[in-house]
Amino acid sequence: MTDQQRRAVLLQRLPNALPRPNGELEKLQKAWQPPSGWRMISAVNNTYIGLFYIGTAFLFFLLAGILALMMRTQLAVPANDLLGPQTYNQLFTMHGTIMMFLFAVPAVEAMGVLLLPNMLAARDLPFPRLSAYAYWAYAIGGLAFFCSLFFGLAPEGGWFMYPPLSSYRHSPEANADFWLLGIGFIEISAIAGAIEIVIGVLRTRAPGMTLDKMPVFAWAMLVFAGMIIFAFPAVILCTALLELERSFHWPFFLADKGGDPLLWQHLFWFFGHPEVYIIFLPAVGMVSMIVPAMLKKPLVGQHLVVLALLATGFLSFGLWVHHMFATGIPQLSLSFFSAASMAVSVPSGIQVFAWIATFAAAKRVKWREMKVPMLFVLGFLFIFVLGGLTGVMVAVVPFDWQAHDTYFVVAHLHYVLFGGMVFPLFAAFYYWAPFVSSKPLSERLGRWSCGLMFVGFNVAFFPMHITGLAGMPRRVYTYAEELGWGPLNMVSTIGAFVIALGVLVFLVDMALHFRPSISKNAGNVWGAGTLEWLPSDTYGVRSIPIVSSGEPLWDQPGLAEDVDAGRYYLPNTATGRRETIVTAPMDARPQYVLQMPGPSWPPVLAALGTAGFFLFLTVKLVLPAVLSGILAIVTVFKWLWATDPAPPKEPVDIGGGIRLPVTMSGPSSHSWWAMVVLIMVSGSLFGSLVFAYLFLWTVSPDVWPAADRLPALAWPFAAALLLAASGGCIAYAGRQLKVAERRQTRLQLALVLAIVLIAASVYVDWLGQSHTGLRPQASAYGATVYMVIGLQGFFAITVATMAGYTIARSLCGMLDARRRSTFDNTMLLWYYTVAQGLVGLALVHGFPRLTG
Amino acid sequence: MESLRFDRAFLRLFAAPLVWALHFLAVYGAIGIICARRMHGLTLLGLDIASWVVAATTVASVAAVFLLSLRGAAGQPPQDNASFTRWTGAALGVLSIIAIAWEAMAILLVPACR
Repeated sequence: MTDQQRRAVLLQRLPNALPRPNGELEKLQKAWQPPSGWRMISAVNNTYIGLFYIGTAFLFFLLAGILALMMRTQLAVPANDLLGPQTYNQLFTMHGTIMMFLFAVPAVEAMGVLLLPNMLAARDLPFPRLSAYAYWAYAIGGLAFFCSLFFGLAPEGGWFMYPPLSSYRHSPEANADFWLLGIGFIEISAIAGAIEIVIGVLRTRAPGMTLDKMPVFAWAMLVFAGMIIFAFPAVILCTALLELERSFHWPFFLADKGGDPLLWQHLFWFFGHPEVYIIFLPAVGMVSMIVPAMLKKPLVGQHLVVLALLATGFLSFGLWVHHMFATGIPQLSLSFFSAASMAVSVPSGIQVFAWIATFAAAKRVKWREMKVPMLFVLGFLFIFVLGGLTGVMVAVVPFDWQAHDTYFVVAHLHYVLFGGMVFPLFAAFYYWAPFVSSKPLSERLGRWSCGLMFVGFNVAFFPMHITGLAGMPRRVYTYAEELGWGPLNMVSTIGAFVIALGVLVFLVDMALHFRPSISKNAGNVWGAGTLEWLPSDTYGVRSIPIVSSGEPLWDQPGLAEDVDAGRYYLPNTATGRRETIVTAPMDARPQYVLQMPGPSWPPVLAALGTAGFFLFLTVKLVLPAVLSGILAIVTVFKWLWATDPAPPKEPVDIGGGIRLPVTMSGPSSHSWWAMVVLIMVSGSLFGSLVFAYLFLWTVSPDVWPAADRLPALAWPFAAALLLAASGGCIAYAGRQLKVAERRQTRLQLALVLAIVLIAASVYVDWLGQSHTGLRPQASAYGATVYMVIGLQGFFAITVATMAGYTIARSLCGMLDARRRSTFDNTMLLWYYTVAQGLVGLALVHGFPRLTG
Repeated sequence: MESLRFDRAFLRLFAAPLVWALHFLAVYGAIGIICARRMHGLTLLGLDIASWVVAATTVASVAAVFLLSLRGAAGQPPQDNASFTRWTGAALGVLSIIAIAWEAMAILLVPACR
C-alpha cells in the first residue's frame, strides 16, 4: 500500500467527516470566549490561570531572591553592620519560606495547570473554578504575607519554625502567627490544586492514551499530586497545633507539661522531606519531556523513568528523620532513615542514567547548535548530581553530625533545589514559551542568561561547602574576621550577584520577546512529539484526537492537520457550553461529556474572603475576619449552586458513532473521585494526629491517666452509637433518593436527624472528658484528647453544613435520582466522618485502658 | 464498574511500596517503643527483642512482596497497557525489596537504643 492509500484508509476511520458544518467553529469559539479587559480577573480557563499562576510564582522568586542578595551583601565582609540581627532573622526566614511555599510548589503546580490539559488533549482541567480559587487564594494570601516584612512583623524563626523558639514563651509577638496561619492557608490552596491535577490526569486523557502512553510529565504531576495529598496534611496539623499552643496554651510542644518539641520536627519533616521531592519530581518530569524533543529521540527507558518517579514518590516518605540526626534519637532508628536515604538514590540514579543514555543514543549535537532549554538541562544535570552526592554524604549519620547546621548544608540544599528545580524550570520557560507566546524567547539572550546563572551559581555555592567545613554555622548575621571566613564569603556574594545578573538577562528577554497568546502561538518550533504542540486556541484543540503512541506527533502522520480540521472527537460544542470528554482511568475510553463553567467571579471573591479571614485573624481584628469569612462562605455557596446542573436527557454525539451522556453521577463521576481524594487528605490529617497522640504517649507516659481516671465506658459507647445512627440516617436518605422522586420529605427529615445525631455525638464525647476534670491546658495528654474531639467537631460541622446545603437543593427541586452529586458528596464525607469518629473514640478511650 | 477495576489495578501496582511503608513504620515504631520503655534487655534464644522484631517483620514483608507483586512476573519489557502495569508493579517490588533489606541490615551493624 502506498502512503497515499494508507492515508485514505485512515481518513475513513476518523470519527468525523469533512467538511464541518458552517458556524460550528464559531460556536466553539463563542463558548470559550475569554473575558476581556479588567474582567480577565474572572477567567477560569487553565491557560489564563496557568499564566497568572506562573507569573505570580516568578514574582515571589524575584522577591525572595532580593532578600537573598540583601543577606549576601550583609555577609560579604566580616563584622558588617548593614543589617541588624532582627532584620537578618526575618530575611532568612522569609527567603526560605517564600522560596519553598510561595515559589517552588506553586511554580510547578502552575506548570501543571498550564500544560496538562493540552498535553492530554483535554479542553480544560475538570474543576476550572477550583483552580481559579486556589490561584487567587495563593496570590492574595502570599502577597499579604510578604508585606509583613515592611512592618517588621515577618516571622523570624527559620523556615521550619522549630518550637520552643517559635512558641509563645520565646516569640510572643504576632510574627510567628503570620507564618502559621499564612502557610497553613497556602497549603490548603496547594491541596486544592493537587485534587484538580489527580482527576485531570486520571480522567481527562485523550481517548487511547492508556497509562503506558501517558507523557512522563503527566506521570510526574500525578506522583506530585499524590505526594501533596499525603504530605501536606502533616504540616497543616502541626501549624494548627502550634497555633493552638500559642493562642490558647495547649501544651503540645512544652516539655514541662508532657509535650515535646520533637513532635513538631517529626510532623514538619514528614511533610518537609517529601516536599523536596514534590518540587523536584515535576521538574525532572519537565526534563524528561525536553530531552527527547531536543534530541528528536524517544526517552531511553521511559518505563524505567516512570518506575523511578513512582518509587521516589514512596521512598521519599521514609526520609524525614534524616533532618533530625542530631536530636538524640536512638542510633538504630537513625540507621533506618540513613538506609532509606541511600535507597532513594537508586530511582534518582535510574533517571539520570536514562537521560544520559538518551544523549548517547541520539545524533551528536554540536555545542554551538545546542538550544537554550538543553543548556539549562545540562546545567541541571551537573549541579543536581553534585547536590545528590553531598546528599549521600549527609545521609551518613556521623558525617551529618559534623556538617549539621553549617554552610555545608546550605550548599547541599541549594545544589539540590536550585539545580534540581530552578534550572529545569528555566529550561521549561524557554522550551514552552512558544506554546503560550507568539514569539519564542531569544536564543542569544537565553545563552547569556544560562551561562551567567550557571557560573554565578557555582561561584556562590561551591565555596559554601568549604565555609561550612571550616565551621561557619548557618543563619548567623555576621562573623568575626579572625575566623578566616571572609574571603570565601566575599566569593559567594559575588556569585550571588552574577546569578542575579543572569535572571536580569532573562527578564530583558521576557520583556523583548514574550507576547502571551494561545491562538497565535509560535507553535511547535522544536518539532516535539507530544500533544501540547498541536494547533490550539482558547478552547484547547479543535477536536480531541485518538492517541496510539507516546509521541503521537511523531508516530501518527497528519495528526495535527486532522485535529485542527475537526476530524476527531467533539469538534463542536455539543451542548452550546464549554465541555470536555471524561475518559476511563485505565484504558482512556470515552465515558461522558463534562460541561464546564465559563468566567466566574465567586471563586475570586471566595479567595479574597478566605485570605482576609486568615490575615485579619492573625492580627486579631475579629470583626473584619468574621465579615471576610461570611464573604467566603456566601460566595462558595453561590459558586456551588450552579454546579450539578440538570443534565440534558439525551446523550450527545461526539463522532465515530459514539454517543455519550452529558455529566454523570455515582462512582464513575469526576466529582465522586474528587471527594475520594479529599477523604484521603482528611485521613492523612487524622493519621498525623493519631501519630501525635502515640508519639506523646511514648515520650511522656506519666501524663497519661490510669484507667480509673478516664470517663466511664458509657460515654464513648453513647457517642459511638449516636455517630453510627447518624451514618444510618444518611444511608436511609440515600435509599429514598434512589427509590422514588416523591420521597424528598423523608430524605430531608433523615438529613436533619443525621445532623442532630452527629452533633450530639461530639457533644457527648466532649462532656464525658470534661466531667473527669480534664482540661486541654493542663497537659499534653489533655491537649491531644481535646484535639481529637476538636477535629471530629470540625468534620461534624463541615458535613452538617453540607447536609444543610443538600436539604436546600432538595427543597428547590434540584436533587433527584440522576442529579445526585450533591447528596453523594455529602454521603461520602459523612461516612468518612463516622469512621474517623469511631477510630478516634477507640484511640482516646481504648488505648489508655490497654496500656494503663 | 470501571472505578473498581481501577482500584484493584492501582492497589496491585502499589502493593510492594505499600508493604515497604508498613515495614518501615513497623520497625521504626517498634524500636522507638522498645527504647522508650527500656525493653531492649529482653532476649530470646540469645537474640535481643529488637533483632527479633526487625527479623520477623522483614521476613514477613519480603514474603508479602513476593506474593503480591513478583509472583508470575516476567522479565520482558512491557508491550501494552496491561503488561505495563504488571511490569511496573513487579519492578516496584524489586526496588521495595532492596529498600527493605537495606533498612533491615542496620540491625546487624548498630546496637539498639544507644
